[in-house]
Amino acid sequence: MKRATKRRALTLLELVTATALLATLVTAVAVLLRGAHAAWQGHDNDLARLEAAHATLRHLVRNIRQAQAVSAVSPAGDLSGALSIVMPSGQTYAWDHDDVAERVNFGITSASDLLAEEISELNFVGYRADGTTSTTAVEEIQSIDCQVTVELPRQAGGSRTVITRAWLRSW
Amino acid sequence: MAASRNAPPRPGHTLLELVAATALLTITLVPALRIMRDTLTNSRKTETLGILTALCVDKLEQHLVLTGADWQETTATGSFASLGYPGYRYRVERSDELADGGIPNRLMAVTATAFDDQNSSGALDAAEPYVRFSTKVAQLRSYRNEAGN
Repeated sequence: MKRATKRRALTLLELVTATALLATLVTAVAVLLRGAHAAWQGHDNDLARLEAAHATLRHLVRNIRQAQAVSAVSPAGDLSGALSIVMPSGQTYAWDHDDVAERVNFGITSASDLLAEEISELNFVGYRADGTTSTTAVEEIQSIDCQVTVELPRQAGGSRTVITRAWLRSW
Repeated sequence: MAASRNAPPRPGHTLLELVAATALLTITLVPALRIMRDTLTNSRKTETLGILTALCVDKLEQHLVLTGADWQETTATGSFASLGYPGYRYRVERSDELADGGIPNRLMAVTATAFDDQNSSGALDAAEPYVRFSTKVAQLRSYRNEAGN
């Protein structure tokens, strides 16, 4: 009987070396993926808050442009501000910032419904028809600076502020 | 018996093969990570344009008010550093010339541009992200009276 060629198996040393190399590689890949995932998660959280700020601004500006008058506005230095405007339908639209829950509420007549979360500051400054003189007299307000601030969790102590002026088209 | 006798010798996997296979597996991760990086880059661009949109609307509305109040043709430039965006700048042009889409003393064309001044040149250059809005506003005596002009 012809003898079959002897097949050499892996030695214990080879096996241990291969396992160690594989473990190192898997660990490195896991660290890499975890870092990338954490970066993505942090960015996604920031983006969600920024989008909440933009959405709040868009909502304010769209309605202020159509408004007939301002019926109430918080003082210029109030960072948890409130605003009420009278619409052509006669309804009063109201926005109010809740600084404890860090949210902006909106509603008709009173701000009772949630509009946006994670908003740390909301500020309004009214201006007269000349566009440069600030005022708190509601009958004189012709444009409003709306300023929204959000905290960004990715950066310690980091925040982002977005601001837009809105002009009341009727006077 | 004869078949087993004639079978070719079957070698085992070498350590080199094992490592090569693992390396190939790792290489497949590279495109996945590149996709993630590209997604992050695109997301940052979207974020930049979102902010520029808000800032551009801000300048457009400000100048609509000013136009209604003083009816002055002008070009205004500046930065948004005071709002925490030192790299973002704006340019607003107000003109009632026919060539710019206006009607002298009757209709003012207002164009606002907000851009990311990446090379700090102070002007909008090619490839820099920007947002531009244009609109027109009519001259209304009653509004100018309201503004005290």
